[in-house]
Amino acid sequence: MAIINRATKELQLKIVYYGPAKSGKTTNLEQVHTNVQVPDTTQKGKMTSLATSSDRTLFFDFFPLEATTIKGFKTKFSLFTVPGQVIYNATRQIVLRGVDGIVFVADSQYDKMGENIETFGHMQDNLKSLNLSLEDIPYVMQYNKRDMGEVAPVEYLEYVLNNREVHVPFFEASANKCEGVFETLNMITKLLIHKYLNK
Amino acid sequence: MPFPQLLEADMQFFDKVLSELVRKSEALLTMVVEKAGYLIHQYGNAEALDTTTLATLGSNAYNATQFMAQLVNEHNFTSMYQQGETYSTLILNIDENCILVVIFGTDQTVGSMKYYAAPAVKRISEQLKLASARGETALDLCDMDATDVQALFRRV
Repeated sequence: MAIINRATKELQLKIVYYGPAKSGKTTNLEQVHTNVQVPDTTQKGKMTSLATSSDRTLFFDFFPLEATTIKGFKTKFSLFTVPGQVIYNATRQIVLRGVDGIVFVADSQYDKMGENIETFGHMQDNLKSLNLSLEDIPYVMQYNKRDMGEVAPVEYLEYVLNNREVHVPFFEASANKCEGVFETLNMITKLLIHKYLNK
Repeated sequence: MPFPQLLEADMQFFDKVLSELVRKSEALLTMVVEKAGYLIHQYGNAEALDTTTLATLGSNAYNATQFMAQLVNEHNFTSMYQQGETYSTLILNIDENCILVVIFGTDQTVGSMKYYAAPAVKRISEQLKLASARGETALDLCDMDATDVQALFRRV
């Protein structure tokens, strides 16, 4: 749910990185946080991670990111990740609250295909419980871990995960090398801005 | 119901209400936060505090505790309190979309915070209702050049 503050001339949007466990959601945020160009580094938002002792996301990772001012409106994006493990499904639902755009981070490895499909289904269920739907929320697919062995061809991933009425943009990525990370981020932010452009 | 668009008058109203709350209660910091985690307005001494992160953590903590309460059939969930050694935090529900976060020194009591915060919550809630009743005006980005958003973020 975007926040439009005409007093401060700010548009605030929430983007959630969703995907199965260890698919690279936190790595995406870390790479953006480390590598994003900002006019003033002292003004760069802090990345907050609520993780377990073994460094797995327990609740969420959060990073506020400010874009250049567009037509007088300062656009602020809040980037979140959800925990990937199924036991934290209730937590995922809480993080999805008020989401404006989603990046689905899929693990490209063949043996992770079942988890990708299951997690996508959980995401749809969680959105439904919040009276939201993928038909109304811009989202993009990221096929991560392309640098690993035994990865499925993109055509296969597309057939399995992106085979709905609306075919959404997809990106190949190796988030640990920061490949495909900014392309994905720029596409989802573009889709969100265009949503307001076309209103 | 979506979160209403806010105007200068709304922000001035929030500022007035929060400043009165800080003055009367002697709280350190007060924040109006949208439940998805956005900081709407703050008043008080935020020096050395990252209020953006505080707002996000506060809203998610509140949502999580509310979820937990619902699991034990406790549906009347309107506040939560974290007791600290130097500073404590009280979070109060404003409406469907918003919470009030109050951070105060442990020399103050949670009872007095609740006493002073209750009318503030009511006034903020009423202002938000007024803002909602104004209706939505489309955000005027129509003369924006679509190429402006081809690559909002660049890698160093």
